[in-house]
Amino acid sequence: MKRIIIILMFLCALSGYAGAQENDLFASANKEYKEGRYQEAVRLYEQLIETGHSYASVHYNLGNAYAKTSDFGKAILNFERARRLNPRDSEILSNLNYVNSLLEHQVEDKRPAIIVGLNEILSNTSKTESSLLVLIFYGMWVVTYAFYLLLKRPPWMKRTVVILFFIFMVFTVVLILKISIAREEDAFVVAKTAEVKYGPSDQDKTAFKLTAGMPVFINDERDSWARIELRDGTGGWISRKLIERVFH
Amino acid sequence: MKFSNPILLAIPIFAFVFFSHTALAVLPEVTITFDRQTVSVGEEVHLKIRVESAGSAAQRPRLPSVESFTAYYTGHSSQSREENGKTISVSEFNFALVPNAVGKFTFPPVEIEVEGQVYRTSSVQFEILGKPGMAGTSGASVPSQGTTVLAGNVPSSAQPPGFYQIPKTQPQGFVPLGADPNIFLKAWVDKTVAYPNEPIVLTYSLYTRQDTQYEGFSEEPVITGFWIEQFPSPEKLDKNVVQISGKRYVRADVRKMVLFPQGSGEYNIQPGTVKVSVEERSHYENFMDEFFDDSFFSSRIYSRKIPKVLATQPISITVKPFPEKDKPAGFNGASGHFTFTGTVDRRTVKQNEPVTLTLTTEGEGNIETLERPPLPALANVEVYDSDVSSQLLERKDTVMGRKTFQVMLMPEVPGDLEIPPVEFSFFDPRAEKYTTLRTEAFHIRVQPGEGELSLPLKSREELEKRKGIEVEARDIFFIKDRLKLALLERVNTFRLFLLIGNGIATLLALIIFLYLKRQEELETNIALKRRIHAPRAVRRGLRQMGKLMKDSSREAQQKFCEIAQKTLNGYVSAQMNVSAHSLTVPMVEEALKERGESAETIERLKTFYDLCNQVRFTGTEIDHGKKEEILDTVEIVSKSMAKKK
Repeated sequence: MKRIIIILMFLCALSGYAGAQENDLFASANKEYKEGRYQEAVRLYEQLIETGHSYASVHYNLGNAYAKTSDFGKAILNFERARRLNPRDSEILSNLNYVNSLLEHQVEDKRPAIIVGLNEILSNTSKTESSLLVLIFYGMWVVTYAFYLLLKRPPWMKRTVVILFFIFMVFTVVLILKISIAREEDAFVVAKTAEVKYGPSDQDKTAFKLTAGMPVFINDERDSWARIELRDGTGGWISRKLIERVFH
Repeated sequence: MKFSNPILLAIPIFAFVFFSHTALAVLPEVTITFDRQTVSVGEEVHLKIRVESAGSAAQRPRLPSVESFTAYYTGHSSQSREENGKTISVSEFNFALVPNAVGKFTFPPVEIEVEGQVYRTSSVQFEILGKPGMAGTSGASVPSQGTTVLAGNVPSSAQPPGFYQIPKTQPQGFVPLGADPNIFLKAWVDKTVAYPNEPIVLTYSLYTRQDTQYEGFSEEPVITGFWIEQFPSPEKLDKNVVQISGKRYVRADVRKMVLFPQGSGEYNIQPGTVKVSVEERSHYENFMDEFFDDSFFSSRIYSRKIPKVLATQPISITVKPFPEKDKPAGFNGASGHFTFTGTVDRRTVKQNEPVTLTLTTEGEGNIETLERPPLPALANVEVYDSDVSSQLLERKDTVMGRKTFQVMLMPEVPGDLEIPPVEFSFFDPRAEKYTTLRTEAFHIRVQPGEGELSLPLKSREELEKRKGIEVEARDIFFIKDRLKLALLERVNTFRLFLLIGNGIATLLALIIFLYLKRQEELETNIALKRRIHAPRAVRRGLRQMGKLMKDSSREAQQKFCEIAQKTLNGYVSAQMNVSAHSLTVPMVEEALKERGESAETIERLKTFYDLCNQVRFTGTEIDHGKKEEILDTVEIVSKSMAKKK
């Protein structure tokens, strides 16, 4: 009986459906959204996220609610969170692109073309997905290899072992590239305007200004300041309260 | 574009020579020449004043004001030469006199100042006739071209058709009909009756007697019902001198185009207007004007330009329909004079592979509107229009060119394919008859192919006609209703299990790997394998001996001793890596001595073998104590050898 309960819990988790309380909160937030009370919808979606679950659909809906209230910084941040959780969802991508197109300023991507190209290709998969695929194919390869050894290396299994190892290596390379070279922006500007300074204090001179929704790489953090870099190579120090990380 | 003033080539008929300074018996010399004395109203009399002097160049003379004549200054030339060590300057001043009343008139004397002295000519008698053409002219008339023939006295009030048209709203500087006899515009066509697609050349000619700058069209012509091929504007306008009604004009064709009527009927061309600027020099209203109109200042520094807009009359063109008589079946409206050829790129082809048929039409006519000649019906052949290219060659008064049609023929069945001659029919407007040209017939051998599938032509056309979806507006998509994780998000929930599972699997795989690796090593090292397995055999033997301990029967005792000997021999032989069957007691003693075993142990071993042999081979019975002694010996010796190996 105990085994049956564990199996049922496992299957329930695999099915991807949330608990009743989360579902209720989500439905309430959606109702507020549908009735045009976007601020209230934002509050409920944020409350749902605070429970610790990170659903692409919640971030997507939250992005929509922020977009409806013209808070494009938060809208882009949440669409980006949704994209990174579910990178091939066409509606998430469409909404993200649309809100991006409404921004007044854009940063030109001056990174080497190979990195931009890699980023473009690898944006179709998330870091989580890549790491999971690495784990899955590693596990499959190890088990298959063990059987291969136990069965005194039958020739018919050799190809399977090689293919699984190759797939595992491909995803490993993808993961390494995603972490190192094809790095995605760590945070987005959520304030309407944000001054980027030459040093981590208000007394330092302002280098340039950013507007809501602009993505930044975070290279260092010191107290309440973060050293950021943009796609065009420019950088500086920005107050951490003006930006928000995609994932903490 | 600048026109230089025409130099009047007057025929001298009258001359005066004045000498008022006796010291200069030869110089200065002043010669005045009129080209005629009998002239009609509106015609020109050309006056040339030539001054030859040793000093500086002469000032431009002033013509006296005469009511019966209008005077124009038409140009000045000067040159110098060395003669007997002196520089002789020669200046010529040209004027045109246009009489405006009939009768006999006297042109008063002309005064000219040379080197501070004033020279004066005599008066000249003129007879002015009423009708133009009665007076003799020395120049040739403008050649007749088409119907808008430049004939008669253009600047007079009686205007021939096809010359000027006064627009309803006159722009600033607009030159109405006859207002300025020194400059006018003429638009003319080489034919006013034509067939559809027959080329008609429309030319805009500018006639001027003044220093004129052409500045383009201020109002573009309105031409409907025609396909227009415009000749490119030359960098420098060609100009020639023509004589019209006794007056010399510089003529320049400022625009030329070929019109191809697109259908039969009556057409009216609105020619538009042309903008020019003219240098004004003919009036001396006050002292300053005269000063600035001096030949020195006329070198473009202080010249006065007056803008003018020139108009011309509309042109009517009649386009006749093609004659129905002898009209070929495949005629599709081509008009002109053409040649027609056809080629195929290969004579042998595989089934479902294309053969390119190239049809080329070349000649004089409207190349751009030529359509591909119809192809004869071809069974089991897919026909695709591949490419159409045209090359236009604009000659002096016509448009020639070449048009190439490429057609892809894709035979669907193997065998011999016969493409009948392709016909091209056109109407020759010069001969006013139809002509039909043919290519040769083409024989194509179609070999069996790979049987590639190709989309039916109809489907292709339908696909090409389909339009994409046009996005009318952009907005965000609606929210999602289901709180559901993506598949990999769900799997991520079990990341920890996955990690642990992978760890266990890795460990197992490693163990299996090492075990099998060890097995492989043992297979190749028998001595090691025997040594490793020996203790296990001892333990097994001791267990069996232990079971037989309680049994006091003879057979059990014999069995007990047999196992004891076998166990000990097996162990010792494994340690020594020798066969158990070849093992002797002295060998065992020697081995134990080498391992540093005590004498007591060696003696115990001897006793063990003696006792066991007695029981096994002589039937001697042993008690429980002896059994234990045998058991202990096996255990002690094996342990001893294990320690000291």
